[in-house]
Amino acid sequence: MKEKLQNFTKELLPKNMLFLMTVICIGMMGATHLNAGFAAPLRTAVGYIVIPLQKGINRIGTFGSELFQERMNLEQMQNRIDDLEQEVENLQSQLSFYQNDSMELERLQKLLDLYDSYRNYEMTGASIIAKEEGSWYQRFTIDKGTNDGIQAGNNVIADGGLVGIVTSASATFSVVTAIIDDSINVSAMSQTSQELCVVSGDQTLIGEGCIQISQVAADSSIGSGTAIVTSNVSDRYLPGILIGHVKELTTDVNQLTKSGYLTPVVNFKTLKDVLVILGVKETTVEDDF
Amino acid sequence: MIKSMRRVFVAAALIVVFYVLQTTLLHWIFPHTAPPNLLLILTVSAGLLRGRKEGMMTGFFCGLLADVFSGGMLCFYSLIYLYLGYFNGILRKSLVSDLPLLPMLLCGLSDLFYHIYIYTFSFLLRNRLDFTVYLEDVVMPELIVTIAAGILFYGILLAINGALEKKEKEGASKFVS
Repeated sequence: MKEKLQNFTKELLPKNMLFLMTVICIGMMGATHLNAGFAAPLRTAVGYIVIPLQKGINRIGTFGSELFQERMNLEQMQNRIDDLEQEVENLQSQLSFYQNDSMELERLQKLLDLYDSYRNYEMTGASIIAKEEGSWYQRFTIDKGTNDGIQAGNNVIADGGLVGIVTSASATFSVVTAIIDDSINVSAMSQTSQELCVVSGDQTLIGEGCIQISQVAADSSIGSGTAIVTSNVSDRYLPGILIGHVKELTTDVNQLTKSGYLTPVVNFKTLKDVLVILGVKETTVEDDF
Repeated sequence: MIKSMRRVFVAAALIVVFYVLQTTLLHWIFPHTAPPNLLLILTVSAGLLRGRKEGMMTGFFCGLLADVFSGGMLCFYSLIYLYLGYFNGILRKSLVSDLPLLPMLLCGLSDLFYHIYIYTFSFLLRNRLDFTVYLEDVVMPELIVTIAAGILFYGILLAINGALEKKEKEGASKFVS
């Protein structure tokens, strides 16, 4: 049997082999497109080999960069101290204002029964261990998987804002697609006025560090600086997670909607650790009558 | 049999090592742009040094590894790497000197085709028509670093291939005598 297989591969002409492999590739693409679970055993198996390697290299890298950083820091610290003392004075004066504000906020939140709803969800911390190899996609691998309760569709947050969504979960690792990825659309709303809009990633804006916001009603109160959070009506994202602040808005040609740019609160360039919310948003699927 | 097993083992190890380097270490060396595409360099080199069949198989598995960790459908990357391995394999006979001029050129050309493939199937079909912007932001930076890294890594792969061939010859002569 083995020899037969060997003879077969030896005698197979390269162009026939190319044809055969192309058919296999297209077949696999179709199969995994229709049923993503088809690829799960392969993902798990490969994960056991590659993930430990990536973790190891990351650990070495973190150690090295920490040593380097420490030396750099000592020099910078003295300068920073002077700057910071100045800043402390400014901030202290601001603080009193904010304390007033935050007390008011607390009261109002209790009043409206608007607790930070996503604080009630169970979360798990994870580290980013690898990034997508090119720059076409804004996806990264984290070091936790279904063994830790993560499943596809979990929301990922960091720095108090939305990072993205788990698009594929294997036993020991998961792939997260960031909200700045070109294919991602998030149903969002203004934090204060609850007016709906759509936030979408855009490959062409990544260099500028912002993403698109669109479908804002022309007469809405959303303007530059408005905090945008995930909406109640989204079928994938838990409500009330901060996405970012509006940078600028212009009225569309149709005069009915406005669109523009939004600066995410998360700094995707320096992101290292994230929190994964373990609950998946439950949506009611309407039955066909 | 042992000979081909050794080849397969070395190729598998190279694919994994190149992939891990590309997704971790190279991201720190190139924090602001895309890192060089090592899997592509490996595929091009396999085609050039070993011919169409091995180019194809190396490409297929390079792509499969990238597919596994992209979380999308399988064999999306495999398909393009498969063809890159095949077409670079055709040019094996034109590789006359050890100078990395032709490999450099082919790394660049292959990378361009690779990006056009991704753009076409992943962006153009979603009505993202601004190819020039993507060319400037995504394709060109990676193309340049890939060509540069191509010289270095092609050299390494050439040396590994040489060492393996030497060992195979030794084994063959032992067998004859």
